[in-house]
Order: sequence, then structure tokens, then C-alpha cells
Amino acid sequence: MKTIKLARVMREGWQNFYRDKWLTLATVVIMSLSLYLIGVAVFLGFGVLHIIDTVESRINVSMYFDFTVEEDKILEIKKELEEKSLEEVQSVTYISRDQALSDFMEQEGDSKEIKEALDMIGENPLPASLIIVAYDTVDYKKIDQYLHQEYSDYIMNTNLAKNKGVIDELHNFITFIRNGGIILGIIFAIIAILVTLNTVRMSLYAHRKEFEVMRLVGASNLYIKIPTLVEGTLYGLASAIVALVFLIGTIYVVNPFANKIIENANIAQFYSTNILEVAIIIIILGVILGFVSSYIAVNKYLEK
Amino acid sequence: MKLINLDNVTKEYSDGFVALDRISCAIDQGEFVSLVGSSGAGKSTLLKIIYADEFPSDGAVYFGGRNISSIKRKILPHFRRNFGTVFQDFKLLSQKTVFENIAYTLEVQGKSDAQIYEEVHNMLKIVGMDNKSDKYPHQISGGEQQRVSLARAVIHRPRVLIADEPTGNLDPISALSIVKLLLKVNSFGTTVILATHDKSVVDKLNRRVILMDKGRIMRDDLHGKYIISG
Repeated sequence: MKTIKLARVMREGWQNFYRDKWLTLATVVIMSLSLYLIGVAVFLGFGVLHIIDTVESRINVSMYFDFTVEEDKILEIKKELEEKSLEEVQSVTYISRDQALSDFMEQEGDSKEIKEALDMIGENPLPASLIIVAYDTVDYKKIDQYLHQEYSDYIMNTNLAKNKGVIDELHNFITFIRNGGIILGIIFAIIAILVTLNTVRMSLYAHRKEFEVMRLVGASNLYIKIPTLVEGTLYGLASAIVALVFLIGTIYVVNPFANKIIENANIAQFYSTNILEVAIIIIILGVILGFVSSYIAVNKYLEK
Repeated sequence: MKLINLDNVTKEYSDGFVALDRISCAIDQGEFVSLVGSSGAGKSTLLKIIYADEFPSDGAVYFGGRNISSIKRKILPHFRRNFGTVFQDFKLLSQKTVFENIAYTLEVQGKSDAQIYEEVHNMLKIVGMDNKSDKYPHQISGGEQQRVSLARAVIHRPRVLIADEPTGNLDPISALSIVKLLLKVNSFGTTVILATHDKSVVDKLNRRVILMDKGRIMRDDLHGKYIISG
């Protein structure tokens, strides 16, 4: 008898959901808007973090070596930096003198004047270098000090001084964006949750007279509650799916603009690799919101 | 022992309004009782007290010898299955078909689908609605809705059928068909308690009539007519 009843209350919930099409439509439209807002907030958060990562990975400090330093020694220092001396270091890349020259030529587009100037000098004027990337922008100062202290015999100079202003500014900006984004996201989410709670409550308000009728014909409170919870959960699920479709659409519309602002920060590609996680977050959120809202509503209307 | 026994029942609401004032009466199994009186006389409150939708502020109601006030809240839905209820506004579930509305009463009791199918179709034939079982309430007339409501009220074979102004919204012909159905239900042994304004209905029945006024019982005649004063 229990399983018959369980199957029946499930069916009841489904019927409430699909038969009252206008009510369902109205509820799902408002609820999916809320979820969409939350989704946009989450995506913006992820997106900003991704852009920050992209920008940060392009910050580095270069260590230029005297011409007299042998390549073997440079590679040895590279190994030291990578393996033991500094935990702040994320990666070290070696650029040989030849590599530096060909990079430079490529950058200048093989211009005639440059070639002539180089011929006049007669030898490669560019030093070999190690490009050091840190995990965190605040660590560059420390790394720079360390390099000067440990390897002052070998290095011509480092370029931190030149980048210092940019790095400091960027660090402040990143911190600001992170904190602001988190606060904005939380505000968004709270508004969306309140809107959803009220929407589902209003929808179930339409049922409250029917609850009374159901009680009159001998339905237990649980038999009335479960279909309502199923209905609320279905609202949440449907809204989550609608919100997701619009979110994905938004990403593809917005992506070209985002790429213009920050070169090579391919937002769409980033999102497509993370879409599954975001989808799961939105769906779980929708289902929980629908369930909790209907739970609150049905308890209110069944009080008597 | 009578089926329903009201012992000095008073119902006073929190705002001080006294809906029932020291009511005592007994109703036997299989009786057909009409409850008459003007609006606000306390008819609906008395019915609600009988099917345990309201509880007396003083006095006691016994059903089959058991004090209703002593029934635990959790068991109340089961207790209410002793009753079928019909109202002026039909109270059908708008998102369910005629068939589903009637079946609902049996579904909550956990009957099997096959049993429900058979019993509901038999009942639909009795109330003459078997050709409209797939319609929704808004697709049928008031008289038809009340027949569905009545079918729902008795499908689980309750011991008592409570009818609160069942003909109030109906034209005379539909009203007559409802009254005939009430008599039919009563002829199967179900106790019927009918609250009504409808003089012609009561006079035609020639059954027990209880006249109420301002929360008190004014007359109780075994073969009564609808008489307001005297």
C-alpha cells in the first residue's frame, strides 16, 4: 500500500505541474530569471578569476645574464630556482641569446634597418635570460631581492624595476575586483532566492483551498504535502534548465566582446570546459530552492 | 446507542461570537435529518463539529460512543473517512477530471487501481455522469458538478453523509435530482444530515427536521415541515 501511495503522490505532483500550464509558465519564467541572475553572477565571478589568472600569468620578472656566463651555468641556476630555492616560483623559462634575437627579429618584423644595425654591431647584442613567473603577484619583490642577493655575480640586471608600478597596481585592482565580485554575487543570490521563495509561495497559494478539500475527503497531511513538494521541485528543475539555456546563449553572445577587451582570454572556451560544473550548481540550486520554497509554503497553508 | 450524540455542545469563537449554545441531540444510524434555519443560525458550525473540522469549546460530541475530542490529530484523516461531505460550492479539485475527483477519495485510502476503476465507474453510472468522466469541473454544469461532488462523498461508503446547502447554487430541476440521490444514498443505510434553506426540498422529504436559531435548537420534529416560527 505504501508503494501505491508513493507512486500516486508522485503522479499528483507531476499533474499539478503540467496541467495548470499558465501557473507553471508564470512560476517558471520568474524562477528561471532569478536562477539566470545567479548564474550570471557565478559566471562573472568565474570569468573574472579566469581573466585575472590570464593576466597574472603574463606578468613575470626576467633575469638577464652577463655575456660571460656559460649556458650550463644558466641552466644550473634555472634548476636551482625550480627545485629548491624559492617556493613562490611557479615556472622558469630559459631564453638563450639566439632565441632572444630571433624573438626580437620576429617582433620587429624583420625590418631592414634593424638588420643593418645588427650587421654593424657584428654580434648578437642580446643577453640570455630566465623568465620567472610567480604564483602570486605580491611575491615578485621578494623574488627580485633574492635573485640580486644570490646571483649578483652572474646577472646583468633584472627588469622588475620597470614592471614594478604595473604589478603593484594590478595587484590592488585584482583584490578589489575579487572582493567586489564576491559581495555583488552574494547580493544577487539573496535577491534571487527571495524572489523564488515568494513566487512559489504565490503559486501554491492557488492550491490552498484544494488542500482543505483534500483533507475533507480523508487525505493525510503527508499525502497533501508530498505532491506539493514534487511540484515545487519540478518548478525548480524546469527553471534551472531554462536558465541554463539562456546562460549558454549569453556566453556566446558576450564572448566576442570579452575577447576584445582582454586578448586571448577565450571566455567561451573557458566556460565550455566549466559548463558542467556550472550546470550542476544551477540545477542543484534550482531544485533546492523549489523544494524549500514549496516546503515553507505548504506548511504555512496546512497549519490549521 | 445512537450513532451521533451531542451533549450540551457550545461553540464560542475567539472573538466572543457564540455559534452554538448548549446543543444536545442524537442522530441514529440510517436517519435522514434536515437542519433548517436562517443564515447564521449555526447549521454549518454544527455540521463541522460533527465531522471534526471544528471542536466544541464546551460539552462533548460522541461518534459511535467515542468522544471526538479525544481523537489524536494524526488519526483525524482516518476518522473523517466515516463521513462524506457535499457543499454549496461543490469543492471539486479543478485540475482533476470527473473520474479523478471521485477516485481521489479511494486513492488516499490506498485502494488498488483496478478496484478504484471499477467502483468509480459504477458510481458514475449511479449519478448519471458516466459519459463525462474525462471532463474537468469547469467543462460541466453546476448540477453535474454537484452530482460529481456527491459521488465523491459516498464512493468510500461513509457512515454519514453531510450535505451543507447542496442545492443552494442549483436550478430547481438539478436540485431535485440531488435530493433524489440523497434519498437513494440514505436508502442504502447511510445517515444523511442535510442543512438547507430550501423550503420545497424539506417539505417534500417529510423526514426529521431540526430547526435552529441563534445557535440553539428551536424544534425537532420526526416528520417535519419547514416552519420558521411557531
